Amino acid sequence: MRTKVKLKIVLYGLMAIVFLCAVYVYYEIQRPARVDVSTLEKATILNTDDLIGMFQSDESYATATLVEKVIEVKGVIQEISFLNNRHTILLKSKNSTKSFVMCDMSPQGLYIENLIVGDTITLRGICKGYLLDVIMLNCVPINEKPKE
Amino acid sequence: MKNQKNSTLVLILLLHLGLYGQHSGNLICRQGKVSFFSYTAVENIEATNNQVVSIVDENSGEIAVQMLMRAFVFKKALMEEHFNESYVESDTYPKLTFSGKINDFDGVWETTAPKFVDGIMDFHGVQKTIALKISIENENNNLVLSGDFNVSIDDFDIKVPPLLVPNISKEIQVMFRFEYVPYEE
Repeated sequence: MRTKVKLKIVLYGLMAIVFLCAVYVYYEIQRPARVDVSTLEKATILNTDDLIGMFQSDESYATATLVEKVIEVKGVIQEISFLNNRHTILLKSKNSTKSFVMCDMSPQGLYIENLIVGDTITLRGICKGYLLDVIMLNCVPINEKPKE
Repeated sequence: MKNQKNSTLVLILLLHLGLYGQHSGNLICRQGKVSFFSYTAVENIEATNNQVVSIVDENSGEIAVQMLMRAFVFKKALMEEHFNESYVESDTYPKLTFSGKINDFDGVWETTAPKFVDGIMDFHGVQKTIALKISIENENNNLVLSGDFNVSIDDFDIKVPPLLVPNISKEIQVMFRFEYVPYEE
């Protein structure tokens, strides 16, 4: 009798483990790619000149150091565009007139009407690398609030 | 290493075009859109890159394109991880480049007839000559090039684990759209 009870406990235990594993796998598969970078620990704080300069001076090192990391970058807005249903903010550099930091904005918590060209802004996003510009995705403004 | 060298060559081409952009009427697109789709009975996979850079030489019909593989955005994180780590190996081959020229280019961009571009695509460490059919449009006084083509994953040496073969199509459909503005120094 006691053996049967023990077997039942083991069986139910195994079923619970299998169920929990299935739930974990399901949520892992369904986990959305876009992350809220405002909740992530920031890796590096840079201004646009330093960020662009790092990639221009040693792209391999900058790629190894910065790509897929959360970066907080401060700079002056060169352009705000809305293309392909996405807002993009281009931050300019004092040292380079041809390279910018291109920030693809996350729609969450974006108060684009607060921003105008020439403003100095701090954005946090995930660095993806460098082409002509440093490219950052999932960007969110830091300390920006809706207009009252 | 080879990929980095080729990326550098295309970048030199881009910068060369840009150097004389003020005089020769070159056009630049910093936010080109490239999407790809993989359709199978098991699952559909799609991703979009909205930060593709392209430069066109208006006079010669030469086109250069460069994109970061890590800038492709997927709906699900696991797909994105598999794409970057297992399939395209973004750490080793971070960029895709294409450089080509419009066939029999006569210097006229105002046309409704599709054109063909012959060029070399450098992707995943493999260089391959491809021909693209493109549409040329004029939107808001800007030149727009768009089109689609299929890429065979075997052509670019992309290995799919046996367990995931049913999930990944052998032929990936790629769509692109570039809206150009004058390049200003």
